[in-house]
Amino acid sequence: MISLNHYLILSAVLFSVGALGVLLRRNALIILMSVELMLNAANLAIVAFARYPFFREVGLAAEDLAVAGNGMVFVFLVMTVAAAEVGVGLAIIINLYRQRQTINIEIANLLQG
Amino acid sequence: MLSAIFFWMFASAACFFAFGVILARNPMHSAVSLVATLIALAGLFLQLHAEFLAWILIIVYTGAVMVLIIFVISLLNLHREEPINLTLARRFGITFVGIFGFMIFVYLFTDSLTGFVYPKKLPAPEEFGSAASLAADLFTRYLLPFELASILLTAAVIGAVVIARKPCEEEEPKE
Repeated sequence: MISLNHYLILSAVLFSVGALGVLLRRNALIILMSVELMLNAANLAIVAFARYPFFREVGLAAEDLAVAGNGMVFVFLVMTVAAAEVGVGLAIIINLYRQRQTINIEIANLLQG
Repeated sequence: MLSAIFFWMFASAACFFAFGVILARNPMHSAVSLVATLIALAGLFLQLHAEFLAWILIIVYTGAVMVLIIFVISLLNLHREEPINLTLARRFGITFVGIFGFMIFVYLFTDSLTGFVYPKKLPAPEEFGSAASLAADLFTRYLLPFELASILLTAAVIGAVVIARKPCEEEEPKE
């Protein structure tokens, strides 16, 4: 039987893998994709919590459904933010490549102290 | 039982391809792995009765965002391998992430071992997760965040165009 914990563990694994990708890789595009992975892991946790409302044992009343819908709206807005982030991030990467001929973030260290 | 089989199938696919995203040498392979991960996640969303979000995930992510990323990868023509260079700070960060993931593991596993069990899945109402119920929430109670999201998207589009456009004539160095 699949419980909420299964989804939470999967979400934690995906989030940790995304965080490792951000730390390990030096390619700006792969870092962007790892961030997307982390956002989607969080989305999975939110949807799982919306599906398993744990504040009431029996039945799903009308107000529970309304509260469960909150999670859906939350995920919807996270997806919007992620799409905006990818658009701006790719623009920055293209501009970086145009100026430095590389997207290795070790080389783009102008703002490092 | 069938839903458990589907869960393990999609969960193992998501984990496998997630590692593919961060371990692939070629950025294009990473992008394709991320597409596969997102499709597996959409399958899990379907398992959780979030049908509308599952289709949005496939259409918006694999249909639009990932195509954009793949387009940029082929535009930049990146085939050189990057050496993995571990500084002390990065080693520290990786250790921290490892400890963090391990702690979540221990927490969730001991939770289920000591008998604190989250409630079982309740039968979902007919309209749960459908486009109609999500829209009913989005256009009544959450109208303000929805409009703010549209402003955010407009700002992102303008910002992306401004950042990525070619430099103006007067800014360009004379050759």
